[in-house]
Amino acid sequence: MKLRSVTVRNYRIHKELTVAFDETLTVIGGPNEAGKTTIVEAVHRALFLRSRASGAVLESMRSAFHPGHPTVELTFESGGGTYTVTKQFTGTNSAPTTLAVAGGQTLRNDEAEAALRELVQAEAIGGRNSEDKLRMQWAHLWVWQGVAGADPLDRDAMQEPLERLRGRLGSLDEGGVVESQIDAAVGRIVAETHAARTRDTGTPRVDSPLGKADAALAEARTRVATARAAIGQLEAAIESIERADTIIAQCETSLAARRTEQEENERRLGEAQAFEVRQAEQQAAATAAAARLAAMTDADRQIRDCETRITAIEGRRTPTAERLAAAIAAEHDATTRCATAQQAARERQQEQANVGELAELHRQAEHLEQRRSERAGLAGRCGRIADLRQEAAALQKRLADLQAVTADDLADLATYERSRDAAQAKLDAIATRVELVAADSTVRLGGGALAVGRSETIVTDTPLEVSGARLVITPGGGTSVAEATQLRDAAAAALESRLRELAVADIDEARRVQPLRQTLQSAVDAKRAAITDLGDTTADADLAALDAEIAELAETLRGQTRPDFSQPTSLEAASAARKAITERLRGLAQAVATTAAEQQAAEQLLIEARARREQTADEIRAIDGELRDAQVRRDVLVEEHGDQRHEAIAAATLDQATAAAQLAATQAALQRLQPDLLRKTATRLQRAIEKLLTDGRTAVAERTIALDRLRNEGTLDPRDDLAQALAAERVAEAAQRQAAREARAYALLAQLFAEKKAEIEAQFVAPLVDRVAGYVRCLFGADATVSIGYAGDMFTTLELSRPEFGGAAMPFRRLSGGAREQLAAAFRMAMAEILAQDHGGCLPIVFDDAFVNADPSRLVGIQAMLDRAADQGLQVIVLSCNHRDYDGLGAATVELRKTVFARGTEESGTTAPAAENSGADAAVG
Amino acid sequence: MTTFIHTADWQLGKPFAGIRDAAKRTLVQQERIEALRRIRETVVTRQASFVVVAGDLFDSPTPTKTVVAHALGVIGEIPVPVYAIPGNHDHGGHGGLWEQPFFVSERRTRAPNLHVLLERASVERDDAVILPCPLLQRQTTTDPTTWIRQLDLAACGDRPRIVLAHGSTGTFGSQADGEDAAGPANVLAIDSLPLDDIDYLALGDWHGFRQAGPKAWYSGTHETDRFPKAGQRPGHVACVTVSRGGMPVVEPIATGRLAWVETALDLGDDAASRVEETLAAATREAGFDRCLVDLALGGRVSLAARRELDRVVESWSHRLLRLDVRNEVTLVPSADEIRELVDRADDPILSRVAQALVHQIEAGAAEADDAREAVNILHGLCQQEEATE
Repeated sequence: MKLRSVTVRNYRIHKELTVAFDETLTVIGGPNEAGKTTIVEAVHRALFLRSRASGAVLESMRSAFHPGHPTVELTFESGGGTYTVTKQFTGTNSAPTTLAVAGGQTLRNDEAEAALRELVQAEAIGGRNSEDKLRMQWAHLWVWQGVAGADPLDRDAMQEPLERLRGRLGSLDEGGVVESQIDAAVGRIVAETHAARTRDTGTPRVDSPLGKADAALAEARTRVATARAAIGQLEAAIESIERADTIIAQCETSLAARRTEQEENERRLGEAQAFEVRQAEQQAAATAAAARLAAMTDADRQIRDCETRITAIEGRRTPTAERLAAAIAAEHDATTRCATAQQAARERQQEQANVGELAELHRQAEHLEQRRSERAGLAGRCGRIADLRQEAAALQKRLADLQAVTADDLADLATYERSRDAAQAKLDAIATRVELVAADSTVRLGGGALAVGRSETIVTDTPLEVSGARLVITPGGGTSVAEATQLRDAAAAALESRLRELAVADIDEARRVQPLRQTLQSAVDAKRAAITDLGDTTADADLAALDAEIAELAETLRGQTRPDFSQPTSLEAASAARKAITERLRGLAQAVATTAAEQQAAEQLLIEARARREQTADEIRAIDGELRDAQVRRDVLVEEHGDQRHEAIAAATLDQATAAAQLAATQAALQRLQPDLLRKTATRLQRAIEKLLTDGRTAVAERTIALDRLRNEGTLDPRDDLAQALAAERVAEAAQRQAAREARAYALLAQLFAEKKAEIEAQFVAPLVDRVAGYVRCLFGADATVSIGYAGDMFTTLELSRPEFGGAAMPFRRLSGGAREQLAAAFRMAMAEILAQDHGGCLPIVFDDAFVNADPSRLVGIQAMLDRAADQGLQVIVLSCNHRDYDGLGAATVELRKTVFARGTEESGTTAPAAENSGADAAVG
Repeated sequence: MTTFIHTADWQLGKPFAGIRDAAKRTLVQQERIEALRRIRETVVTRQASFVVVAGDLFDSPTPTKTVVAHALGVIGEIPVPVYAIPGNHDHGGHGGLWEQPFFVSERRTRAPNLHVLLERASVERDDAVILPCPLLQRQTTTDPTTWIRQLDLAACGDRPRIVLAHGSTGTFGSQADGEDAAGPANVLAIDSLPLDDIDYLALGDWHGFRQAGPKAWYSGTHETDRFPKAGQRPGHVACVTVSRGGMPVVEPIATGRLAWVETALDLGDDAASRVEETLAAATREAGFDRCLVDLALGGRVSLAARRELDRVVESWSHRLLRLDVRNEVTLVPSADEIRELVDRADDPILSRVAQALVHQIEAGAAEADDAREAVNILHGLCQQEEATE
């Protein structure tokens, strides 16, 4: 089918316009709003919209400028004929449609429409939503503005043509391989069986035959393991028994050997013990012999030591004895001299005592005379004291007669007097004084007469009577007069009271009495002091005592009978006699001292001589004691060891050697027997025997336990059980192998079905792919490839691979806007090529501003692609604002110009037809 | 002249775990005890004086009480003494059968004629001296016959001397049977024995009837218990007549009833019918319900033939007491089958999948087996789908 020309009338901006289409390539140019799209839309509506269509679709066609119904007249070729379809869109049921066959009849209305349907092989659109439905018609051939980049596999927009394409591909000689029902059914069973049996990971599902076989095999293996374990336990028990038997036998053998060893060891140990007893005895004997010999040797040495010592002591004694004789003689001489001196001293002492007695008598006589003299003095003093006492008593009597007024009392009285005077003065100051200066008659004040020249002080309301007149004087001061009067009376009363206490008439008397009392008291005190000074308290007693002493002394002297004593008669004589005798006594004392010193010297000499004699005697005694001890010790030793001690020492030496030799022999024998080792061996053997017994008992116990384990219950033979388990395992293994083989076979089948299905699907779309690739290579070079997915009776993917992108397949939606437009165009043209076979090998394809995103270099490729489409028999119509972009295409060009209309005015030149020929512009306006 | 029956390796209570069906397993186990009754009949018909059992009365040292009770019941029916030694299976070790109170009590009350010889000491009979060599442990490194070499056999006088031992003689001995690993080798140095002073060696351990030396025989097991090696004659007892200084006269007498058949077939597309015919022929004599068959299958079969083969094999597996199939058959789709899968212009995917699988099978890659299985599955699925259409 090929478009020849179209004429539109009253269609939007077009009053009337005819555009002729080139058979292969037409470019319709013109600025925006020049009506390019309107032209191809009008062609599309002539082909697919019923003339009676109304509503929005009709309104969209009507012209705002040109009255009259929109009318389209389209001339096209199809199947060798030329047809002109004319549709006047009146919006009524009677809208006319005609289809005129060149050189033939003209069909009208429904017949015309039906014939047109046959020719375009698509339904007519009318009724509701006509615009939307219209866009679905020949959607692959009409690339409306703005949809150029849309996915050509979009099922919503392209469902019908894609469906048609699928059908057409199936009938192509070059492809045409499709899945059969049996293919699908068997493939489905295989896939479902495989999926039901195997997970995506490749492992079998639990409920699949292989899964069950695996489980059965695992169970069988578990059963084998259990059966083996049961037998293992039995065998272990048998091994235990055999091991125990071995141990018991070994223990018994070893025990017998050890016991033999033990007996031998005990025999030798007995022998050793006998030697040890003998050795102990011999050791004792040898020790005793040695001790005896040592004792003897020692005694002999001691005797010899004693004798040496006696000789030495005797040597020391002789000079000492000589010194003792000399000391005795010296002592005797000193004794004689001492006796002489003692005699002389005694005589002098006797004389001294005699004279001493006489001197005492003289001292007493003198003392008596002194006492007599003292007595005369003491008697005078006692008389003086008595006189003083009488004087003091008289003074005391005078003092007692006076009032007892002290200086303090006097001060008190003065104080009271000052108080009273002060109160009076205060009263006087405020009282009224009434003074009678002269009077003819009696003046009476307060009931009392007032004397002339006398003044009275009144302190209260007081009547004054003068010559029958009676006046009342009232002193000023108010109540303070009464208070002052009261104070003055109180002070006067206090003074009076104190005077009464002191028994004085007034204060002047008190002032007179008090000094007199003071003078008398001083005189009394002076007398008493004098009495005290004269020893008032002791004088009488002293006198009595003196008298007694004098009497006693006189008595003593009266009894004296010494011839050489005569009592003196005076103090002076007594004193002279006492001095003379005292002088004589002093001379005698010197003589006594001299003789006493001589006696003391003689006694000292005697003491020294005696001491020397005693010291020497002690030395002699000590030497004698030493000598005696040495002699006694020697005698005792000699007595003890006898005279034959040298022979005894020789015998003891021999005994000791014999005993030592015997001991050595025994020790050597014992050493050979190694008793320590024998004892250790005994311990070791005992330990070993005990261990063997323990081991044996343990083995017996283990054997008993193992035997018990072997006690057969008898309902099941574990070996039989194992055999059955092994057989079951073999069966399970075989079943598992078969199930695995079957699973693998299903996996293989599923894989092959998927592969082969993909293969025929690829083969199915190959003609389409080849054609799309042919266009794409015009754009992207010879190495660019295209792939089209086809599965489940549907085209699924469109992908472009380009060498400069590494050959990776880029899905349509991931391409750039320009590449999407271009790939979509390639796909549409390939599709049109295939579908054109139902239309006499040609179909028109319209691109309305479909390459707006192409850059200038890509435009070259686009033109090559469009040219290829034309070569393949398609009629290519391109609408563009910039028709110069397509200069390289060598296409027929129709250029529309934009026209400005004034509402209600007639357009001019709207009917100018387009040039009949290609290459000529259609100027409208 | 003394006549006695020499038998061994009864292995009563053997599990036969390879038989999956419990009822069949019980039948086979029970048959070993039933065979003892045929020994009893032999004793009677041959007027034997006694029976010697050269080890392995029981399969395990711990048989169940049921097995013990059944065995002793039948042994008790034998009208002569039965002298038995423990073998490696029922060795006289600790915890073993012979000291279990149940066995001791059952033997005393129900089979007093059974004498289990647990000591290496001669058993004196008027008509013979039996020299037992019991195995007292699972494994002995010493030859259990050694004690006889130190024995003064002159004391036996002119009575025939019979050695009773269990073990390998170097050439013959127990072997693994697939279920039961060969026990430890207990080697009998019979050549070291004073053979001039011995009149017969009654040996056990080798399961077929066989002469092992001038005076030594293995009686074999009394009832076949495994697929026998070529030339092996299990299922017999030996009827022995001996005299002091003479050569023994030994006659095998069949006591077994079960047939253990081993067959190998190289199969083609007639696999099912060949297997059917072969098994029918092999079991005709003994009867299919007394046969145990080991079937080794090889060759190449088509998918359809394989399905038919599987059907026949399954049928026989239920008929026979035991059927072991060692299936080495290679599954090779036939040209028609391949065509059927590959030549599908209308089912391009199926066809291409089948081609890929055929390619893998032909390439013989490691995955060829999986590919064969896959072809088999695919073939089945196609048939199923086409049937539903």
